[in-house]
Amino acid sequence: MKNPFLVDKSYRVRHKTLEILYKDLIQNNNEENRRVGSVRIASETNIPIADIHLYQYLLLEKGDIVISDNDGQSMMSIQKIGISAYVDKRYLKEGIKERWDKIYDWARILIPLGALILSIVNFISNRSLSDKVKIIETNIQQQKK
Amino acid sequence: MYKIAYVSGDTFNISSVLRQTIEDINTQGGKIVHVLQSQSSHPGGATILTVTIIYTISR
Repeated sequence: MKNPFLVDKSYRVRHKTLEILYKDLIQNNNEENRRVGSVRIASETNIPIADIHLYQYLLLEKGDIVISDNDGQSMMSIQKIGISAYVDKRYLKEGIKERWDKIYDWARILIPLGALILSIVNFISNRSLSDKVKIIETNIQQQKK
Repeated sequence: MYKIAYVSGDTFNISSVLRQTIEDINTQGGKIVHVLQSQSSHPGGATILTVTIIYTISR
């Protein structure tokens, strides 16, 4: 089960990938359609290359990047929409929002459940307490006689 | 032996990367045999064009 307190990996990988592509673009004076290999992205981010290949399609379908593959050599090129997504931290924000939504979903279940358990515990302890009080009352009345 | 290259991206942004890929093939001494094109639309996303190039390298 995924930890609801962590930002999902897919969002982090997408943001990191765009970060590397954007920085490469800036370092090369905004040269149009700079291509960066997925091997380089993996080595600079310490993200497994399989994850980069997996999540690159999410960036592709939003038009953030263009992918090229030549005989197994995979390359990516950041596009204007990808630059705005990186600068706006769009994927990090989406990931954080999804994390809070997950926490909220868990809280909706756990808080009423916790309240129910507490009320049952309270009910049981109150009942045993009232039984004890009754016994004490009976004892006192017997002593009075 | 046939080799395959492909370029995939938003319809309006694919041309420059496609040109670079063709230049790479030429640099390797490759000869393009066939070019295929396919297109897909994603809800809430871009229209993605994929150009697949089949080429050979003479030895």
